[in-house]
Amino acid sequence: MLLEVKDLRVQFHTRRGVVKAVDGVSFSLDRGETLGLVGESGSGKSVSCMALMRLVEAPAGRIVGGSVLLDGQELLDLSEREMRQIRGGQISLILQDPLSSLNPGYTVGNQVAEAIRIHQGLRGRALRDSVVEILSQVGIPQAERRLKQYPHQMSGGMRQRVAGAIALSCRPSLLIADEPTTSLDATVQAQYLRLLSELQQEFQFGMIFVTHDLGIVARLCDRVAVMYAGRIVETGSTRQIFNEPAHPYAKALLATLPSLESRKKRLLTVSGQPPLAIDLPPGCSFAPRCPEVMDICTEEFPAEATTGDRHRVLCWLHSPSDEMSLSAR
Amino acid sequence: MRRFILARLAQAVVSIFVLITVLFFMVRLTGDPVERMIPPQVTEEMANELKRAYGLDKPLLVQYGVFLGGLVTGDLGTSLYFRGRTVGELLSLRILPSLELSVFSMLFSLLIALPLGVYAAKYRGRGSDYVARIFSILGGAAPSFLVGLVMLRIFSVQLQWFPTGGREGLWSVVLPTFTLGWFVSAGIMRLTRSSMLESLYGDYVKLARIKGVRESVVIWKHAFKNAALPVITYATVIFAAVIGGAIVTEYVFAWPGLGSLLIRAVIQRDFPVIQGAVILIGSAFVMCNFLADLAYAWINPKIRYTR
Repeated sequence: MLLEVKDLRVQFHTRRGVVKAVDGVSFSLDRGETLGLVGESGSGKSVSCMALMRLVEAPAGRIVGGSVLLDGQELLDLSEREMRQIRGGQISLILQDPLSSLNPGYTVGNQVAEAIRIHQGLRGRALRDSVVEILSQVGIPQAERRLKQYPHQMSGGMRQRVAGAIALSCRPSLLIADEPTTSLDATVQAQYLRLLSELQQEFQFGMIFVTHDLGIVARLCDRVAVMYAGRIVETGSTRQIFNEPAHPYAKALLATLPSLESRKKRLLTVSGQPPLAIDLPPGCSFAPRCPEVMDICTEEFPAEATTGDRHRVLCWLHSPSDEMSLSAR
Repeated sequence: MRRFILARLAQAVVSIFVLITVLFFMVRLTGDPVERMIPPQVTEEMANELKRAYGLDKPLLVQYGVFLGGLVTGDLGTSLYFRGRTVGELLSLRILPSLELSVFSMLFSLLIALPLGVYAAKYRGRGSDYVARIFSILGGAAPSFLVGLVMLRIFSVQLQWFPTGGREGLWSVVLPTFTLGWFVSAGIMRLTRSSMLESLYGDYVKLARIKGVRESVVIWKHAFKNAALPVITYATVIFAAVIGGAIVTEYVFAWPGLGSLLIRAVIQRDFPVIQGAVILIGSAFVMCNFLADLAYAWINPKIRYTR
């Protein structure tokens, strides 16, 4: 197992109270495998990803519990210095907006070189060659000539490829992609996704792909984790989630996918608003919006149920306990 | 890049010319200098003679022509107040002390304000942030004459570490530098802090951390370079203003700078000296802006290509 996250908890201390942005997230990932992390804005997807790199904004945000094992090594126990070696070396992250994530003040070559210099200690000619090589690998034509260009001289697609080059320059074993295609137009997006898959085949890194585009999930991901209010409410293989979603929230999300048959009907949405993660009610956080809500849902948080091979769900409809199975009928 | 520099240089030259012209006509709106030069009982005939001697009887445009002609040959004229002394001579006595004071206080304030502003932003809302903000509020709010006098009282009169005034040796520049520098650093620090706050939350700073870059490099290489633009603009303007405008500080420490010369010239309607001093200060201002433009282009490469 490449990555094993257990009961990860991240809190933000604000004036209005403690926000449990990530509230007991567990999942695992193999080399060469892609996990799709889906959910509405504010459900804790990005914070979870940043927490894996231990980059939650201090002092307001803090990782308060859990375990993150990368190749068997506990990341939460490492010193800041050791953690810097992991960041950009073993774990990389591609941010959403390539325009704002590249530094406008430095050349593309400089920015790619920085990561390689830090983690592989290359200098001079060797460093330059290495930069050109990775830029070519992410499909940037005439990479040699691009070294001296600034981000604003490149198109959005090219810039996102540069961001990809930075992320992959040190051959990470885990790549986190936080909605990397949201700001790209459709054709560029498709090219970029194909590139990511090809690179994954070649380098065999595990990938966490954060998105709210279920179409991308269907094409790209082996498994899916659905996040709601800081928790993974359902996880399973892409096939399981798409064919037999167990959690009402997952069902609702899938129902929002437009299909040719449903084009005459109006676009579906999940009704209601996601809860603020301050002072969450004792029961299931989705209960107020749930079409299948029961009495127990607002009183107690559901225990995890396993409905099939690696298919797990947090919902009273699928509770493992006998008593609850009865009421589920 | 060369085209950028040339264009900026041309702009600088035009600005100085406009400044000279506007200045020439504006000082002549302030009144007749001869009134200040002679006692009231002197006859009109003598006054007219004096005007003739200084060329003040000719039509304005002719005076302007003479003035421009002199300027081309480097002749700024003769002072009306300090009889017999040329403007060039007066200015050359004052420019060095002024530059000395402004350069020292600018360096001092940058050295204090930049790190203070950067770390105040980095540790926003914590102890060091409050200390930095109090330092800057005090520096901005306390009038220079008060700070200057308190400094003199403590360090010159009681402790006798520094001379009480004048410009003799390196020691004499310390107190004026501190007084002026503290005032200047207040604004620079606040601007650095707010600009850094914006850039520290930028995605490129996040990406630098994701790459495993050391925090000090994240702050100074990635965040600070982008936060520096408004700070440079402000610091340049302040620097130029301080060269000729540190009047209070000059006065408190009996510092022989341009500011006090200019004030006296304005009061005495000493046209040639006003003109000379303003041309000098104005040129320094334009020069500073030119350098700031170059700094922009270096910091933000986008500027190089789009203009």
